[in-house]
Amino acid sequence: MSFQTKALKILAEISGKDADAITPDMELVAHLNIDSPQALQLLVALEEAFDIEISDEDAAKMDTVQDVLGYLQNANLGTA
Amino acid sequence: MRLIKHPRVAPVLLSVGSWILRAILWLSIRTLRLEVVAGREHLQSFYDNPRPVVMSFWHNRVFLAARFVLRDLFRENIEVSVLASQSRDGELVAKTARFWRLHTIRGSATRGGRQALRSLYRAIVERGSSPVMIPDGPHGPIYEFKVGVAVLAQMTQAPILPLGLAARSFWRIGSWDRLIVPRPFTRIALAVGPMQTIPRGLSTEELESRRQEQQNLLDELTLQAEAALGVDDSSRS
Repeated sequence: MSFQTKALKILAEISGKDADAITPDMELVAHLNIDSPQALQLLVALEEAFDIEISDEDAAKMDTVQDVLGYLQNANLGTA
Repeated sequence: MRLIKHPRVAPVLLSVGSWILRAILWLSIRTLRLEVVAGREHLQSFYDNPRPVVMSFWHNRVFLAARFVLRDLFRENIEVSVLASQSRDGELVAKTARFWRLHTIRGSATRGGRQALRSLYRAIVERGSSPVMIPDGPHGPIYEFKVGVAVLAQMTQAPILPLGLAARSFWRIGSWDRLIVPRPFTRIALAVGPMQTIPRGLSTEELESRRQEQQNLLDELTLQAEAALGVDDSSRS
């Protein structure tokens, strides 16, 4: 499973949306309706799934699906 | 209002406010008589096996809880974290909390909520601290248990420790939560619920069901505390 697929699956589980319907330009809050508790769920799920630690500064910059995927890509997970 | 916001006046007012708050808390700690009226075994279990918990009680009981936290929990050497909003009111709370050597986290459920919850998560997982989570805070609706507390407990696997509190004699403040300020030397009743862990991997419906359980439990414990003192909180629906 590619890191994108894995990340989209996590986003789908937390937002309750279909993974196929989630596109990179979607905003986590406006389009996926991810509120503060769900944001915590998302960050913890990403950290556990990819065995990484996301800093508060990086987490604060994640506004869109692309931001999440881009972060994972930069964290050298793109080759996973 | 302009005077309150003036850069020279605001810090002075903040200091004055903080001293007033400290004085109320000091009076609370020194003079209030706290009695555990239900769930003593749950509290003892927590003391015997200290581990991070998420403490929850209704917003308008914060001065009553302060007596429990700042005296009983301090005596047991339990580190408590508190969340203070990023507003000036929050600065007042933070200043006061730091005075009492509570671990203070800035942020609120409305502004910077994501970061605040994350900081609370870290306080539990990395520091082993037990945060106070006020489920109907910061702005209500009154007595509504929001899902954030359940999610924090779920993500950290720290159990929720629900605390029902009541005072025999008190003043009411006309705030959204109808804040209870206990009169000096009055009795405080504490009803402690069983610590409950929220499992990972729940569906949205299952998590909502757990949230509702916690809502009911906190209501019931608060009623138990009120009944023990013969107090009838007419603001309850």
